[in-house]
Amino acid sequence: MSDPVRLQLMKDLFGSVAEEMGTTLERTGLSPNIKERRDFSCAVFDGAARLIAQAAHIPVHLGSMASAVESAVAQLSLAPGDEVLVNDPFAGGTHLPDLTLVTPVFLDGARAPRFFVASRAHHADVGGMSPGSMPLARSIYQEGLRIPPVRIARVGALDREVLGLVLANMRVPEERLGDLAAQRGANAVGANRLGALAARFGARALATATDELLDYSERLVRALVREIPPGRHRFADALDDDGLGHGPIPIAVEVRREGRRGADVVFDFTGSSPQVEGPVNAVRAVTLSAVFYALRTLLSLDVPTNAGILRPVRLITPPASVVDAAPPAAVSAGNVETSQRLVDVVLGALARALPGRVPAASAGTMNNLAVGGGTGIAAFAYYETIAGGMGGRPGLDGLSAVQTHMTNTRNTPIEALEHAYPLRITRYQVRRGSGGAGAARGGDGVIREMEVLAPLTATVVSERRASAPYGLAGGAPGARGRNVRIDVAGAEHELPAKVTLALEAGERLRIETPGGGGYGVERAATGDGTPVATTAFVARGAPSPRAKRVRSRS
Amino acid sequence: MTKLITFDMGGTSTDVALVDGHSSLASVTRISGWPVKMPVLDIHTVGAGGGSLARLDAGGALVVGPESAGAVPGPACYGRGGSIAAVTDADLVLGRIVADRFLGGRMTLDGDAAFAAIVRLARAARLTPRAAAEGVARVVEASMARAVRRVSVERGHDPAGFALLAFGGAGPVHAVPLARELGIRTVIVPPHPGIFSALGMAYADVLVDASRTHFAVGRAASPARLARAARPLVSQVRGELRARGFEARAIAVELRADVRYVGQSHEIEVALGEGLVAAFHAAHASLHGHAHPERPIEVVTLRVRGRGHVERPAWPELPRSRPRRARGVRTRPARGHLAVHERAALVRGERLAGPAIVAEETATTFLPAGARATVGRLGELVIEVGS
Repeated sequence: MSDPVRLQLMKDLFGSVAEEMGTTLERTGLSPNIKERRDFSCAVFDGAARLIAQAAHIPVHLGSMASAVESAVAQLSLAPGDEVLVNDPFAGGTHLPDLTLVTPVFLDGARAPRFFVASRAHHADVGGMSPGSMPLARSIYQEGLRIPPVRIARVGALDREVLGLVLANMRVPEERLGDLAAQRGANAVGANRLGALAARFGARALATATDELLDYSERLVRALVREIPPGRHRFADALDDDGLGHGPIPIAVEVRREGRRGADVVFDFTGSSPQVEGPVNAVRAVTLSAVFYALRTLLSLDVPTNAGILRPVRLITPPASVVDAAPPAAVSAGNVETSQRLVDVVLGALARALPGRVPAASAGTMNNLAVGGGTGIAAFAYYETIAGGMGGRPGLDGLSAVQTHMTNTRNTPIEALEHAYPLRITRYQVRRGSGGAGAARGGDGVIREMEVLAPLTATVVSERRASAPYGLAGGAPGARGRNVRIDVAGAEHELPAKVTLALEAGERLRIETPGGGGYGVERAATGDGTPVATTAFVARGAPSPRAKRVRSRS
Repeated sequence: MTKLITFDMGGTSTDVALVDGHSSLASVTRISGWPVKMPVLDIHTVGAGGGSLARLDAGGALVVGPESAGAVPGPACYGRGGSIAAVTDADLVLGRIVADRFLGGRMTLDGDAAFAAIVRLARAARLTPRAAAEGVARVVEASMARAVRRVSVERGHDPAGFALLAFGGAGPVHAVPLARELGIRTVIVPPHPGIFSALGMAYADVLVDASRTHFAVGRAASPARLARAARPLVSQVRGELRARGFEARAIAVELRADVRYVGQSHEIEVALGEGLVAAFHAAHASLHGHAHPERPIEVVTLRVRGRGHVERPAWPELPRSRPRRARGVRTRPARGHLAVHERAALVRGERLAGPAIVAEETATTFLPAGARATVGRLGELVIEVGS
């Protein structure tokens, strides 16, 4: 078998290992956040902890899962049948709710693992000061249980003592146990498939193939890097606040080529804010993920998602900053919110370097909602993120009501949500007119409103409530989001972007998510020179000016 | 034969589906990219077929599809101006199809054009033309194997326990190598594989499905009470079939229910009857590897399927022998070529051994070395794939 053919076959084989792991996790998971929203990722690593394949699940896990494997290897001496659990953001994790299970795969009696398989799933609660474990915390100690790499199974047998310690610190232990069992099942499927591949091709041939796959992705990303013109491409944006009254929080990046013949590319985040009191600090692995993701979007679909993509990349992050948090910073929202702004600045800088290939800003927030309440057997904890608008793309409108960039989750179906929790969805609709105007319009956000049927605690962690998703190439920004509490009497109370509040039965919570920015100058403004008053249409809830124009012509 | 994986490989795409006693349904499908929540046959489609184009991507991997040559210009061997190597060109260069036997001999393929296209690909890939052509076939078969795994392994079935039913113009060319890749031992090629789907239309019953959400736990989930709740659906389905001209005695009605353990949110469809609970536990164990007979179950949806029975044309049986002159000419293989059997001349019980090909009007069946075929009663080829 020759190289171009083997390359393609191996790309397919390793990719399908990660995909099959994901199917198992989805099929057997217990919590809606895992089985419905697919808030998880599965990946295959080689013996040197280099990412070989990752199924297209959650982008924020892209660059960051490797650090979980690295940290497991660095801190433990692993034997066949061991399984390592980790969530510590300062030792391979990103934020506490993401529990990562790493399983070493030993082949043909070798002393060292030839591969690792890993699954990372967002668990609805890992303890801490508020249900859902996305609190407005001041330090990581308030955010939940911190787990450095520990063996949760030794030689194939579950360590019930460690497991007991873990579960005792979480609000809904039965659900956690079920989800962890699903992760173990997924890793077992991955390990078995790698074993079968090794039996068929030989461990040595697999090792050669992984090297070739990494080189292959590296070649493709270097071809992209060569297209970046010389110079310093800068972009800056900001987070609204940290949930504790500090903000705006600047995030800046400079993209420039370096090295021999400019073969490498630097992403320099100098100029970003020092770390803050609230939980919007991102650990370095999250920043790396944002860069990985942004580069991946500029490559063609069939480029394997592996560590080769990062070979030409050098990351500069100021220590103890919002883009490279140091303990004991609170980090829960760094993974979900700051990661989105990191993508906005990286893509913004790349748009300046490679105009015409990058879309305008998308919603720029995951609109996190965590609720919980009840005690004993009635205890529940629920977590979801709410979709927004995608930025307008060169030549194509942005999509409405979708998750963008660092998350890729689906929504929880209303039926499933109402079935499982004391919540009733009273509105769920596209937020018409929230996308920014442009030659290609930004997609619209959504409105999700829910009534609380039993007293509970809700935490909203959102962004783009003060700043708006930027337009590009003359496009208008998308509309900012809003969070509203509606009391039993029907009066509306505007809520901050990040808030924890107690809600009584009969009260409602409404989240209006941001639209995407527009791309390019809207045609009406350039065509006959008459600018169209977009806002007048939006206020009345009428179709956008462009839609209306098209209709009147027909 | 009730355990089948269907493999329908056409010019631009390939459909695979799993039949385990009955065909499986998916509750959600995508039509033009939009999710549609209605029961449809659980068919997985891959964007690769005989017309799929092979190329070397920017990183140096040999990629096949999703770009397709279509019918015009078609693969280079069609001689209609196509110059990029397609899967069919690779098949021709490998001798898996025969230039003058395409479409029953009514179209002659341009072997030189196919070879030239493969040579261009081979140069770019720094391979010999033969290695390049084999590579194209292997890559396309690997993506087919991935599709089959999707509908089998990922649904809890081991493909090794199934036979591969190969049809579509290109299916029988790639079926045996694909089966070997998946550990499948038997391939079945029906008569007229190229028009098998169209034939199916003439033989298929008319189905009418109706369903409604019906939550039931405990005693409310007893088969008798569920059947009672399903009565309006049954009348609806019968009414629709009668309106389509089916007489009452030509209509059969089947009751099914979507069931899950309390707390789950993925249901499994099982037959609604006395054995409902046992059937659910068994299905859960086979699909997910574990069952919990002690856990309470809940019924979520009632489904009624009405079947209007269609009178099927009889299929002629193959004779056990034919007059010698009607058996057609078997090509004596030239050096480097495979033996060519005329399918129309085969008789019942006849045995063929690879390497060989079986040519007919709508498709070509490729038997690599080690594969053995037996001709069945209705003309089907039953192939033991060997290794």
